[in-house]
Amino acid sequence: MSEQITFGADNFTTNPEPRCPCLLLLDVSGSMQGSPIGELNAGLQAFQAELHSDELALKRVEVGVVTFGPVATIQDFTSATSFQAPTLQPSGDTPMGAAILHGLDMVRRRKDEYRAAGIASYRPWVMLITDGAPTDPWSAAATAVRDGEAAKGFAFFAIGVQGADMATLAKISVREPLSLQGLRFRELFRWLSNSLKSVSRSTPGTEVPLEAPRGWTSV
Amino acid sequence: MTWRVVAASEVGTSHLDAEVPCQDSCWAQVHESPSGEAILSICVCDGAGSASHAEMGADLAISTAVDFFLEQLPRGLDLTQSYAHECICAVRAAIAKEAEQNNLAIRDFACTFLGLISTSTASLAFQIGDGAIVLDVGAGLIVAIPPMVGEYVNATYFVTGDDALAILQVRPYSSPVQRAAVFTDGLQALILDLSTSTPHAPFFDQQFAVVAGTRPDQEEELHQALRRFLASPGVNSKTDDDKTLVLAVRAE
Repeated sequence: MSEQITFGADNFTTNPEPRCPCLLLLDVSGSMQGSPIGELNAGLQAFQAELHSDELALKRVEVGVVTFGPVATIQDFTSATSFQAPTLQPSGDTPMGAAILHGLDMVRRRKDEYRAAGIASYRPWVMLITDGAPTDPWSAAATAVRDGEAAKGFAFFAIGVQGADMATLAKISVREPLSLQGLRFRELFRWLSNSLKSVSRSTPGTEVPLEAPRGWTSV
Repeated sequence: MTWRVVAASEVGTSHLDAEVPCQDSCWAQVHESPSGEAILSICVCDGAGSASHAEMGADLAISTAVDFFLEQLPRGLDLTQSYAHECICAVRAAIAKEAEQNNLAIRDFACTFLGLISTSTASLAFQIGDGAIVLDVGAGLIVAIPPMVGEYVNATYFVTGDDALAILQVRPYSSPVQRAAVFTDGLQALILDLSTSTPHAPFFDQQFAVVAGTRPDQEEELHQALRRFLASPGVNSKTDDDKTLVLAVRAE
């Protein structure tokens, strides 16, 4: 069977705005069963609603979603306009190392696509959210995160939900991992969308001072 | 040498809502001259939303322009100002006749007109009203004729207007069309940088690559793919008007 012919519906061609990609690396392992996954899903809904309420974010922010247990691309990078919050189901273990490498690869590919299309971009954000510890080797992932941060290839944030192995997260993430207070996913995602809105208002290449994570972290 | 071409018109969402038919019409063909030379002909018309028989006007304008082309073809095409002038005169005469037979006014058939002809050595672009012809005749992509808008954004010029021949813009080129895209105003805002009247190159490059990558026997698949694109949510989120896109790419 020959491949279907498709004319470019990708929106680089019709939207020349600079892009701000945000990749969510979400732990959906068995331990997220129950209210954690419910609150995570509610947080994603809130994230979608917040992005949809902002004209500029709609044009500039792109969202990608990778879940792990097992590693799966739930949403390849898409414009905030067409981002629909997924409803995630818990399953499996916590292959965090593989998920990070998979996610960083997606980010790299997306940046190449921006470049090929002549689209300017902001430094990508990668948000890892987990309630456990990696069940697979993670040292290659930690190296990739460190190298990427050093090269300003992306900004990597790790958020631990209660029960997360914060010590290992600290070895993976260059930035200090943050602990989610209770199941305040909604507040977390509100902070994330606000931060993305600030970034999307800035000039690509400039540093944007981030609003302190308030209302969802426990110190 | 020949061209790979594809053409499609799709009804706009505002027309669907109002149960108004698609008032765009288009034509794209590669014919052979008596000497065996491939000749590209493209026509695109956008029937005026305010005209009662706009879709008939658009269809009639196209069929008349095609008849005119086919009549000229055996005699050898003279791709100059006079070709465009005579073609538009023929279109106007046909519309006037149709209007008279139906006791209607010429303006009831109002439509824009975009024409593009290319031989292996020369090409001719001509236009009345909005929409655009984007083409590469060897020096990169250009907009042949700056978008023709009337005094107000919702007013344009029509082939049926008293001033049509004065409004008619003609661009002869002494080289063949390498790549061309002809489209109605429904797509204009998506793919032209209106502040500078320059084509948004990534869009066109992407579409030309699709056409160039197909085989001659995939004509129907290509047509369906273009229809899907024109009816896609991505396009419909940017325009609620009818939209027509004709693409031509030079091929071996």
